[in-house]
Amino acid sequence: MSARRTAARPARRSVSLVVGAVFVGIVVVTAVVSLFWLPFSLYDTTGGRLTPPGAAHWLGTDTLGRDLAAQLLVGARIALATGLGAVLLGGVLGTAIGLVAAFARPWLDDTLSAVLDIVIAFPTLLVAMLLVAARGASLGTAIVAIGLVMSAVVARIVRILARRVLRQDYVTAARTSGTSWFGIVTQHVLPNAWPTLAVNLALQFGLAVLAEASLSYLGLGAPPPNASWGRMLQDAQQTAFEAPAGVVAPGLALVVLVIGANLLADGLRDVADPTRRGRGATRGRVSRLQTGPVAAATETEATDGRPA
Amino acid sequence: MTPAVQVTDLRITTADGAVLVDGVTFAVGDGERLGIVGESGSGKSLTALAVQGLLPAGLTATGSVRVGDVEVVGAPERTLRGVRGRAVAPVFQEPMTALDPLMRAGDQIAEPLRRHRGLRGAALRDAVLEAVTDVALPEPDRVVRSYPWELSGGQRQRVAIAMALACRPRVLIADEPTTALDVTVQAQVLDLLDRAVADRGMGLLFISHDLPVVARTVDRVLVLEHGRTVEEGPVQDVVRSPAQPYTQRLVGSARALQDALDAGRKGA
Repeated sequence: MSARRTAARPARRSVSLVVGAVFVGIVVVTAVVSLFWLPFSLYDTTGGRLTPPGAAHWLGTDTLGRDLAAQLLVGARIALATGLGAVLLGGVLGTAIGLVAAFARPWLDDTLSAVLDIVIAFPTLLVAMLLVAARGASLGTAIVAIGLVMSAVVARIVRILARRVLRQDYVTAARTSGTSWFGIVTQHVLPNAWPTLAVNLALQFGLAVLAEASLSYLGLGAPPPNASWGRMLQDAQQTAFEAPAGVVAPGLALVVLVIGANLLADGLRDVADPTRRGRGATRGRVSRLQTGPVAAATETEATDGRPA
Repeated sequence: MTPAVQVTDLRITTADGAVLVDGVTFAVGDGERLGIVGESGSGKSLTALAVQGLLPAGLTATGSVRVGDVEVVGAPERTLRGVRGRAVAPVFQEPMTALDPLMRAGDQIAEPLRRHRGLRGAALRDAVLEAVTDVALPEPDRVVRSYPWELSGGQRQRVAIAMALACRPRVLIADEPTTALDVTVQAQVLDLLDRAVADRGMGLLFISHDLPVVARTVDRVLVLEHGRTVEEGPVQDVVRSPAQPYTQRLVGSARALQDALDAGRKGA
């Protein structure tokens, strides 16, 4: 029975992993293609105002006569760059702050937590506007703004996860065997925090993509001629009923990337956490105490069937 | 020769002044087996942590805890790192949380071996296998590659004991090592502890609320109630003729269970 469960679970799980990977993969391939080839240049305004989708212009053109398909391709690049950049910045900065808070004395921990709460309460857009006012609108500014706000969320999660790990007996055991705090962080805290953190970072990736779209929509993202899905939506807003492709295409692209990131997060969690991979095996193990070799064989099977 | 562990007038207090352990004194020499008995909250686990210099933040120890020639109370982290593992090593109650769920058993046993005995490569691998074989785990090769959740409770506890033994400590500190285990597995793990301590001439500080388990495992026993020592002596004397009301209650309830077992046998 436990063997069947073990076999069934990964199969069900891998659906979200595969669909997520395909969705994100489509966007990644699109972004890579845009680096080498575009149907039209972003500066090319010869397409005519609001040409409907057709053989030459697959998605039609915008009010300035620029090809929408070309903008969509470049937008994929911008969306991925923002998502990855913000997750990298937010993840590294947030993990560092979270670890400091987890190890800190109560007064420092309280201070940090209060600061984090304030940062989280600040709308991302407001932070971005402040930064844009100071540094001017650019993709970099958008990434920094989104990453900073994200780091506060990540820090709070890492702090809780680290605290939970630090309470465990195996940390005490590691300390008694003379492991330094640095060793405990790298060997025990981070690996045990990673499954939860990774899922959260993937969700944050999706949020970052949406945040960038919002910023671009408000004109606070990457300036033209860089095409962002958010700015495409803004451009097409006035003519949404005349030329629906201009709104539907970037909107769908956003949905595909964000849903893809979330599904991928769900699937990756099960790969990152061996205790989840083996739920069925754990049950087999319990029954092994009573039933001996039969359940033991089941468990070996489950163990061997696991990806290394 | 100085005893491996000498605790003198140990007091543990919280930041707001509550006294959790009050004036506890005991010694564990090489090859000696001392039990500490008491109910939850009597301070037995805190005493064990204090011996290793591992009190949770916010608790303060006063008095003296000497491990070998080192005074643990008030010692800096650097000094404690030399004491822990080499002089005293712990076995915990809950074998699930005593092992990192994301680390293979072999890697967890290897950690203290690498740090304290400086072993690397093939020598390290051999020492890990030897440690696993020492605690009578079947299929050492498989156990070494297993994650904790792939092992049974008894097997996990054996791995935890192997980790504690790996550094060849002078005193093993076992805090309720069998409480989370099935009774049949419990007896096996206790036998293992007996043998490990006897073979190596190690001291054993055995902490439990379970008087019968303590009685079969140790030579001398210390009874704690609300952080105070209420009775101390050779385990037979304490069990046979408990002097204090609290100890009498402990012995009485253990006997009541025994009687129930006898009555059940007669009834069948």
